[in-house]
Amino acid sequence: MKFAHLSDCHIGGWHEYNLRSLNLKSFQKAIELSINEHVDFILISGDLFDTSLPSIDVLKETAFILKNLSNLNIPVYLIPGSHDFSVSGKTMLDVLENAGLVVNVMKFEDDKLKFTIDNKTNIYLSGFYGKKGSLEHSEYVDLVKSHLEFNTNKKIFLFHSLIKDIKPNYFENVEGISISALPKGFDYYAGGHPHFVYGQHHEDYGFIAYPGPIFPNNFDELEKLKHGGFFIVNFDDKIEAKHIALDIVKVVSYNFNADNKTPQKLEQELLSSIKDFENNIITIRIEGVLESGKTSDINFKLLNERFKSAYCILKNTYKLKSKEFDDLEIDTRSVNDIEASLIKSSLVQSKFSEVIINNLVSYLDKERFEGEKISDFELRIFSDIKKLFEID
Amino acid sequence: MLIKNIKLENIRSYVKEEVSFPEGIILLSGDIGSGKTTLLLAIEFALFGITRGEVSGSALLRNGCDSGSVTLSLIINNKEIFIKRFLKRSTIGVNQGSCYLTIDDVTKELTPNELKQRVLELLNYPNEYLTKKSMIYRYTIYTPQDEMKSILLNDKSLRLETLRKVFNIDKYKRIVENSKVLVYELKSKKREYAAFIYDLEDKKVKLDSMKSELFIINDKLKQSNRKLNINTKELLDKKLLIKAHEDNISKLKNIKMDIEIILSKIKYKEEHKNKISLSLRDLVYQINILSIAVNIDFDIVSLKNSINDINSDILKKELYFKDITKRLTELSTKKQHSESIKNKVLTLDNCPMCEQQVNHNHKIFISDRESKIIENISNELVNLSKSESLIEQGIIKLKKDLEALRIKEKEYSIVLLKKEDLVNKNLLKEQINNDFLIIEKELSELNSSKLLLEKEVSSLISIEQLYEIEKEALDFLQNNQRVIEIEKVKLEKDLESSNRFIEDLTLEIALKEKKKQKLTYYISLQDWIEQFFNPLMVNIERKVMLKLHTDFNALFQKWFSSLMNIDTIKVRLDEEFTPIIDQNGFDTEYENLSGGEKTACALAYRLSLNQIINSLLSSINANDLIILDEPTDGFSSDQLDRMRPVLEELDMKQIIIVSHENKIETFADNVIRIKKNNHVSSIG
Repeated sequence: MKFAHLSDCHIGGWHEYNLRSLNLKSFQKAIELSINEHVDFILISGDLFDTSLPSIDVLKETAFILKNLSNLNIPVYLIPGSHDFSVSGKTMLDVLENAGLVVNVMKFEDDKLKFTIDNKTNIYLSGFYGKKGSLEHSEYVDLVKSHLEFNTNKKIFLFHSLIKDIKPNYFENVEGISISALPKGFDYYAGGHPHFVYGQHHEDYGFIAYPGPIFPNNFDELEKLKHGGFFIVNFDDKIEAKHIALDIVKVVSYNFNADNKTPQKLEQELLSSIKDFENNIITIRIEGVLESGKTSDINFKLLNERFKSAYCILKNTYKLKSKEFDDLEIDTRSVNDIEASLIKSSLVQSKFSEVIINNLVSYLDKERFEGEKISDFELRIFSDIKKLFEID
Repeated sequence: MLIKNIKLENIRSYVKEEVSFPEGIILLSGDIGSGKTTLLLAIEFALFGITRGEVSGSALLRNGCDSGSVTLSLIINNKEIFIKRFLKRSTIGVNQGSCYLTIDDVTKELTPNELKQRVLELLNYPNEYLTKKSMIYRYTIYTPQDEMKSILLNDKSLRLETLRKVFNIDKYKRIVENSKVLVYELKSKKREYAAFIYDLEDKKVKLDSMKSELFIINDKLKQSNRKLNINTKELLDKKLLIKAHEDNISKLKNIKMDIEIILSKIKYKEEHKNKISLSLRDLVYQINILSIAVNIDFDIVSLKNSINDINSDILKKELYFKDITKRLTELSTKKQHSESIKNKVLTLDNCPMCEQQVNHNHKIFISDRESKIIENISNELVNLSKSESLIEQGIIKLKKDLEALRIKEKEYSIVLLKKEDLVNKNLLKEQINNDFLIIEKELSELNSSKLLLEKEVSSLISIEQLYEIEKEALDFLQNNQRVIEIEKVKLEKDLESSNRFIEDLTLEIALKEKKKQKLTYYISLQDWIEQFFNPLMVNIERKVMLKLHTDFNALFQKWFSSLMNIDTIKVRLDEEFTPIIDQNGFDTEYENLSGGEKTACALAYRLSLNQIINSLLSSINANDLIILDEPTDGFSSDQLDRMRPVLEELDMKQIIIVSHENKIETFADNVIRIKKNNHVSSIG
């Protein structure tokens, strides 16, 4: 017996046109590989779609793939994830389920989760959704689990939450549920939501697996994961989960440090450093503080022109700052207070008093009247300053 | 500011309509083209009049109408204000007519520009924003629908420039720019002063050299004075010496004269001595003769006694004689008196004394008595005449005796005189002897003096030669004195001219030093402007920019997040206030967003801008109203739902929304429905 475990497909997730198709292509490839592996069924642990109401195009393509599975009698069991769940119940998953293309295994009977049985394999399946903002965590507390635990059939539990007991370090700031929140005694825990790959047996529970997304869902993931993947799980006497990489397009990541560089210098560095770009997704992360100029002085359009044969070029400049915005503490005072305070604090280095500085500011803060000659305007400015500084 | 009511007459699709605006969220609802936006343009027109490029008269005045008007009723600081503006069509276009402003029931007619100015004052826009009024109004209160997204789509440098103006950050750039005027003036002054003081160091060197010269001149002058003093002293000494010589010469002359005198005196004395010798010899002879003549015995005492006795007798006799004479006179007088009486009485009739008649008896008696007296007197006269004669004779005899005695006494007197003469002559002789001795002594002394003088003459005999020598020396010294004095005068002149030159040069250097100080001050001032003040302004600008950027960015992110509520799209502003869209962690452009996302981004930007400007200009009276023109274009149903909390959070007293979205009605406090029939808009 064999099944495929997918999660976090986020179909329709990318706004970028080129990338938007890669979620679908990855999904398509995962399904093809699963078919090739002769899986008995396919699990999707939440977030098939990136939103509960994906666009028609996305839906059409996805339905086509699912219909193919249906035709091959490969059922798809899933749960709603934090992205494709809708509190109002308006989720396209329901449409797909009603169309007989997928089965939502999170079903209740008498307020208790019930099992969905795969007729072909007699595997019992159940699951619990994920909600936006991890709001499902509190619901786990009230979840009745005993009847699930007492069931002695081979069973799989789908969930869409981070288990804090096994989360990697870089997830340390992300809230998760305790492993104890899950019902015990399942053979396979098909997890979703956190985008990392994990598969390990846990005592009292079973094999807990996170296949990660089928395609990196954001810039960080493109950098970190490079590609998506899923598990092909042999589910006989022994559970063997094999992670299958979905190398749709190669991702090449570049990091640049802008410290002490001018926009022009950085621009040159970008152009000269990026080599392996043909048909690849290029991620460019630029961090640091420019020596001069503004971040907007960097002409990123040059990158698109130079590397137009790349599949796409993505850049992250979140931590790129210009010097003038970097070494300043954020001031919570009013603009007038900032001005007054900066003038006051600068006085130790000034040979002129605060009054003189304030007067000078006021005398110089003049605009030329309409029709006023430049010479008259300059005379108007200078006449006050002349007295202020006792200029002959 | 709150909009209370607007009346339109011949404005675009309106012929005559009045619309009241309550507080709260007001939805202007109606089909596209029904006249919703016209109300908003009419409000803007009422406030600011025709604005070039934004609100044109021809676009406002209803086609086919010659005039139109908008009357706007506003509440500013709880006071109702009425504004009325007119539009008139002429051959050259549509222009504004007179305007009216009513405050506290007082209506004033104003020109369009005056009204605009008054409105700006009423809204309390700061002066520096007056030229940017439209910009602020459009960035805070009302942004036309088609401009909402254009703010983000415009050229970023234009947007930044606009925002800098709205935020008044331009102030610092302007200050730095205007400081160039000051720097230019300072540079010009620096050039002028540098040219003025270019030779200051040369002048100082010159002054030093002049001072050295002056020192030398002073030194020479001192030497000259010293020489002059020495020469003067020598000259004085020499003069004194010459005077001494002259005195000695004079003395020599005197001595010589004295010798001459002494010689003449000696001569005289010798002659006198000889005379005395002769006199003395005569005198001895006379003395011898006299000594013989006085050798006679004579009883002078008895002679003297006899003379005295005779004189005494004579005196006695003469006294007696006088008495007799006197008696004789008296008796004769008495006799004459008695004879007179006797004669008179016999002829007398009356008494002269008592004037009584004298009788005859008495006359006889008196005559008899007088006759007896006469007789007695006659007898006595005879006796006395005899006595008188006798006495007279006795006196004559005595006088003869006395004469003889007197001769004898005279002889004795001659002897006595001779004796006296002898004595005298002896005395004279003694005196002459003494004189002789004296003369001899004097002669001796004179000779001694003569010797002394002659000795003195011999000691002074070379004085005249010396005098000549010293005279020559004096001439030399006097010449020398003149030379030194000429030299001194020259030096004094040099000194004076040097002093004057130094004084002038010192003044000139002082002036140049003053200018140099000014130059230094100007250099330091320019340095201060360029190195301190301008960087300070740049720093303030950066800080203010950062502050505004931070606040703006935070608000932008907040509003965007409120409107979108999805994790995959985040927004932030770059340094130039350009929205950066972070989609799935990578940067993308605003253009790549969906229609609803673009609207959300534009609305978030618009709301943030409104809040930033309102917080920046907290004193303006226009921060409790916002007008949103089709703010939800392309919004999904979910996003429309999110508009409610967003509007509530705006916390404005009056929010006027123009929208054709029915969903907005669900959270609007009031709905004003606008419809258009036969090209005429109406409320209803």
